[in-house]
This record gives sequence, C-alpha cells and structure tokens, in this order.
Amino acid sequence: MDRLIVNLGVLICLFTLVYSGRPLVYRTILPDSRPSSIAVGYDNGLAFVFDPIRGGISYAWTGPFLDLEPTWTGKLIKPARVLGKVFFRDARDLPFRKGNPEIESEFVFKGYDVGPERITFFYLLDGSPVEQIVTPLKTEDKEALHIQFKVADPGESYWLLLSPQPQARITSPEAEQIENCLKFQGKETYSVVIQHD
Amino acid sequence: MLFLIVYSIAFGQNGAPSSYRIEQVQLPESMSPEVSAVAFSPRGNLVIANRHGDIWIRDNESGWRRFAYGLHEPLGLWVNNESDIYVIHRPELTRVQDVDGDGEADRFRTISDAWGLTGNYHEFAYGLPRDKNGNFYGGLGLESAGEIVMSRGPIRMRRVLDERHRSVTPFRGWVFQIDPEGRFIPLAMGFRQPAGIGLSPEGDLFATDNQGDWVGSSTLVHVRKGHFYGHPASLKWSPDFSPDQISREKLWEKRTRPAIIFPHGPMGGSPGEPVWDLTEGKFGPFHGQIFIGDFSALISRVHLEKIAGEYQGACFPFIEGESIGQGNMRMAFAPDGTLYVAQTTRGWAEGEGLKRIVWTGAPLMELRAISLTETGFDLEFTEKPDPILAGQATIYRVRRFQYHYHEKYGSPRINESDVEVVRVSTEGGRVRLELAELRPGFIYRIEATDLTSVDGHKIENGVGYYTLNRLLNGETDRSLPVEMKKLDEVVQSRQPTDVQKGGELYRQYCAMCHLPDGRGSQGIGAASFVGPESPLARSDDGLQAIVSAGKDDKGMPPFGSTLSLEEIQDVVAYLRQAFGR
Repeated sequence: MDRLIVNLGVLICLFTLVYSGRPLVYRTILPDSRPSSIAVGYDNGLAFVFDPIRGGISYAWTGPFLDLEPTWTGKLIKPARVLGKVFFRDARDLPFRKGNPEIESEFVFKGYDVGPERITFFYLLDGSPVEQIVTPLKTEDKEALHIQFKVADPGESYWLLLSPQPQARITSPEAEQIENCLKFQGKETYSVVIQHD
Repeated sequence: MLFLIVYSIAFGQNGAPSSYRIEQVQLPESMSPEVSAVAFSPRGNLVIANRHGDIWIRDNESGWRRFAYGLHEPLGLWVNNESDIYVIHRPELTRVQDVDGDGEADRFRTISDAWGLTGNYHEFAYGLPRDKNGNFYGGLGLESAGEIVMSRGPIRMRRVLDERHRSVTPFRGWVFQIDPEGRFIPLAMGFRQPAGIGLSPEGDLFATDNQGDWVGSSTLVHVRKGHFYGHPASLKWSPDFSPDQISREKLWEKRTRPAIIFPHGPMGGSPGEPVWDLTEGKFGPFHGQIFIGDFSALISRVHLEKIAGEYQGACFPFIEGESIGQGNMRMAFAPDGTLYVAQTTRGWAEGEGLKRIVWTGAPLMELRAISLTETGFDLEFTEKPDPILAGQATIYRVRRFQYHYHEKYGSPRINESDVEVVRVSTEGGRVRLELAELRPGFIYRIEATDLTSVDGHKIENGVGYYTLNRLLNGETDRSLPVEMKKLDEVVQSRQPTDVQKGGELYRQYCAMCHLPDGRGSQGIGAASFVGPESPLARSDDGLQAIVSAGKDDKGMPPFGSTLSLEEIQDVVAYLRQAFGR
C-alpha cells in the first residue's frame, strides 16, 4: 500500500504537469528547513523550498523533485527526501529586509498564488506588502530561478543578504552590490536570478 | 468523471443497530483513502480532505474532482462554496480559493498561523467549526517526546508537572478562536489532544480530549474562556502562570470538570469530532443528541443536560466493531440526514476510507437518554418498554467508579462497586430508578440489557454511562479521587484465567495495533503473534511485564494503569490459546 501511494503520487504529479503547467507545491516537513515549509517543483526539473518562518528560499535543486513517502507512511513523521542535486542554500533568517540590512525586518507570511510556471508568495515586511514571484529559467546552458520582488514602498531601500554559494551565482540588473548585500531602491519591482553554475 | 457508487457492507451486524445501514463510499482511485476531514457545501456537495493534503469535491452532477493538494495534514474543513474553502492543517488556518474558475485552487491565504510548531508528529491542529459571527474554532495537540531541531515560535522546554506530552511551543494544548479579522485568540488550556471541536446549536463550544498522561479516560468538555481542563503542560503559556504554585492537588482544584467521561475501552479511547443530530428524525430517534466518532471501532452517542447551570450527562455506544472499523475521527451530517464518517488511523493502525450511515426506519429499541433525579436516574427509551419487565428492579444493573487524576498514562477504574436499585417506577414509557446511593464525582454505568419493548423488540443497546458531577441541588464533590482499595491488597494468587474475557480485552485494547488476527500492523511495527518472531516465545511473566510496562522503543503504551493484573493474565491466556503458543 505504501508503494502504491508513492506511485499514485507520481501519477498525480504527471497529471498536474501535463494539464496545467503549474508547479507542484507541497507543504510538509522538509530537511534543513523550518516545519511546514513549502516545496515547489517545476516541470523543467528546477525546484526549491520556501521557508515561511525564515522568510526566504532555503535551498534550490535540480532533479526529480521529492519523495514524500517518509512523510505519509507510518505513525512518525520523517522529512521528505529531496531528489536531485542542491545548488543553492541559505540558512540566514530574513534574508530580504527593508530599510536597514543590519536589522531583521518583521516578517508576516500571508500565503501564495499558484499559476502557470510560477508561484507568488505574499508577505508583509515591517507591515508593508511584498510579492515574491518565482519562475524557472532553463535553457541548454543555463538553469536558474528568476525571482521578482514587488514592493509597496519604492522609496524605501530593500536589501537581499547574500551568503557564499559555491555552486550558484546571484545577480540582479536593478541592484547595487554593497559588500554581501544587494541593495534595491527607487522601483516597484526588482529581479534577482539565482543561477546554477 | 467517476460517479458515486455505493454498496452496503453491513446490515445490523457486528455492533450496528439493526435499523442503520452502513455503506462504503467509493472514492477515486487516485485519491489516498486516508480521509481526515468531511463537510458539505451549502449546495449539498460533499467535500473531503485526506491526510496527504488533498481536498476533493464530489459534485452531485459531475462527480469527483480534486480541488487542492499539498496541504500539511488537514484535519478540518469549512466550505463557503465550491470555490472557497477554509482548511485547518498543521501550520495554519488557510483560505483556499479557485480564482481563475478552472475548478482547481490557485490561491492559498494564511488566515492565522499564530501557534508554535516543531515538526513533532503529535502536533496536530484540529477543527473547524464556525459560529454565526464568523469566528473559527480549533484545538492544538501537545508534542510527544523527541528532539527539537527547528521551531516556529519560542521554545520553553521546562516541564510544568511531570507531564509526558509537552507544550514546547506556544499554545500547544490550547483550544482557540480565530475571529473574522484573522486574530488568534487563545481560549482555554489544559488539553492533551483536543481532537474534536464542535459548536452546539446553542452556540456552546465543546472539545474532546484523548486519554493519556493526565487524562485518565477520554472526555468531552464544555470550553469556556480562561478555563483549565486538566493537562498541566499548556499552563506555561497562560499570562498568569506561576511555576511555584503547581501541585496535583492545586491542578485538581483548578480543573474544570468534563461534561462527559468516556470510560476507556467500552467507550473508545481517542474520541474525535462531535456532531449534533439536527436532522429532525431523518437519522432516527436521536434528534438533538451528539454523535462522536472514535479512533477505535466505535461511534458513540451523548445526551447532555444542565444541572445547576453546568453540562453533564450520559454516553452510549452507537455503532461498534467491524461494521464501522477504526479511525472515525471526523463526521458530518449530509443534507439528506445521513451521517458521513471520515476514517484515518494516521499510521497508528489500519482503518481508512469514507462511510455513510443511513437510518432505515426499522423499529429500534435502545436506551435513548439518562437524566438525573434526586434519588437516581430516569431512563428514556426509543420505544415504550414492556411494563412488566421494566418494573422489575432485577432488570437493571448499576455500577459506579472513578478514574485517577495523575501524570501516568491513563487510569484503571478505581473505587468501583455495584449500586443497589432500591425501587423502580414507570410512567409514560420512562423508567425511574431510585438508588441506594448517589455520589457526585463518580461515573455511573447503567445497564438494562434484558429489556424488551411492548412490541417485543429486544433492546439493542441497553448500556449507558452517566458522568455525575453535580446532584440536582448543585452538591458536588471536589476531592481528588483516591483509590480506597490498593492494588497490592488484591489477592494475586494464580486464579484460573478467563480466556473469553481475555479475548474481549484483546479486542478492546490490543487489536487496534496487533490486529484481530494477531499479525500486527506493519505500518507501526506492532508485533505479530504469529510466526517465528512471535513474542509468545517468552514466559507468561515476561509477557505480562511487557503488557504492564509497555515498550517505549516500539511505541506501545503501558497498560499497567489501565488493566488489573488479573486482566493482563487473561489477555496472555487468550494470546496463547488464539495464536497457538
């Protein structure tokens, strides 16, 4: 029965991918991320985990996505297994901040929308709404997550804190790099690309 | 599209009253059948959730479709319409909507996530009734033992008073309200696993709590703001908590008593959601009563009354055994007056699916209600009892008992004794029992299993349990239950074992995990008594020790505080006879 559940899960995944073009989205216990984080998988093999407690992407990988059997079978919950190769990791709390990069902004998670080849996370940063849209970029020579931040206070400065990434490069056409931060200001939307090196 | 296919699997057999039919509801093959929530839309469409995080809708015209997936173990639904559904799952109360009209949810909004999480397997979030003012209500289970790696919310590890299950993060062990603006309002504390939350037609909030540490036997409580219901772990999140003023005696004084105590075993062990019968007779002769499913193979009935301004009353078995199966944690009445039962054992045992219970209208003789009088109880039946039989005191057997209030897992019955029926009178079909004693603070078991109706129908369920907190004049007994007869005073000589009784006890307490055929549920690693690895190779003393102390590494709870030594000996004798060693 357990094997059947996993197999049916695969069937469900394929059905969703073929007919809707939407990413797969599962909220469950995931390794190296706070309880009830959100795993998102695109049909081109790109995937990531968004931590609604940390307020950011915990890691990203390429591969078949997830094995949910440990979370579904038996009495005790074990984390789902990530299937594939992780190329980006970030464990810092609240990596996207408003105003001052030294001060953690107050983060309140408000939910998400799922659409064709995209997911949009909604949250408040120090009481101000932010939309974070994540879409996959994959070509013959490039695998990347494209993140678009939409902010309500374009006059304010926003900061994305960076941690060392041996297998990924993080760039933004709208940002100014200051030490280990990307600084954004003066616009309503900002793009960031996390590219697998 | 698949259409509903229904077939009957039982007709008045194996513990179901003869005038109820139990049907298995066919589910789509691609759906995991671990059904964890059930509700109906205002248009009458069936909506269910399963443990894997799906929400499915069965449209009466077009059949099943999956509305949403990927939620984190949903245990309650509130359906605005077929495109707008609220769901409570482990991390939050979420509003799930289909905005683009393609039949599948695309919007997931966090209404409230104000409670703590660690990822512990016992951290269930239960719900989800909604009152006429738009407030939602839910409950949060405690965490069991285990390492804390990550959390949402601050962590307080210190135990309050020797509890086994913990409240490590905020508001675990609380029942709460979420108002229409999404504000989280903690209401009441002292719960272990408030697995069933329900609102009465009068707007009173009720919750069930599951037997375990500090919960001698499962309960149904009337929830009121600021009240404490017994388990100490959650006290630490109360603003006026003081760790220096805690003792078992003080907690007992502080504890608001349950309206109903469900005697462990015959009345289950882990009750789920209470639902009120408002079908005005479509579901039989129990209009106004409460139905509560149980993790074990049982659905019970509850009749409440107010005595001196407080709820108390009686519980009765309604359906039990193989005909209903295990995992009956969520239920809902359909618009046609039938009762849908969502089943999942969540990996603890075997039992899953969706059942529909139908009242056939056939004659039914049952003990319907028990009400308190000055000197005993009034019994009400679903049919007029035979007056000659009903007037005989020897037809009735009454017994009273209590449970410990302590940190141990569950409690045996204590201070149990027969109570003499000194007089019986009948009037208009009701039977009045006058008892030799009537003591508040006890549970009274009343049995009338040899009664028939005037039409000759034998009574199908003639047992009820009345939780006597207060007498009619309001008199109560606030003393902490103390066993008057010590266990070590029981003669422990080797009396002949009772294999038949051992079999009954096995079916009540053990079969959930070890299965009726003794082969053990593989999903939870329960031992098989059949085969080369059978624990029956041990001596009788060795087996008795395991039953009494449990096996922590296997997740087997101790039964030494639930079963007497003689009962454990009977179980072991049954195991040897039934499974051959």
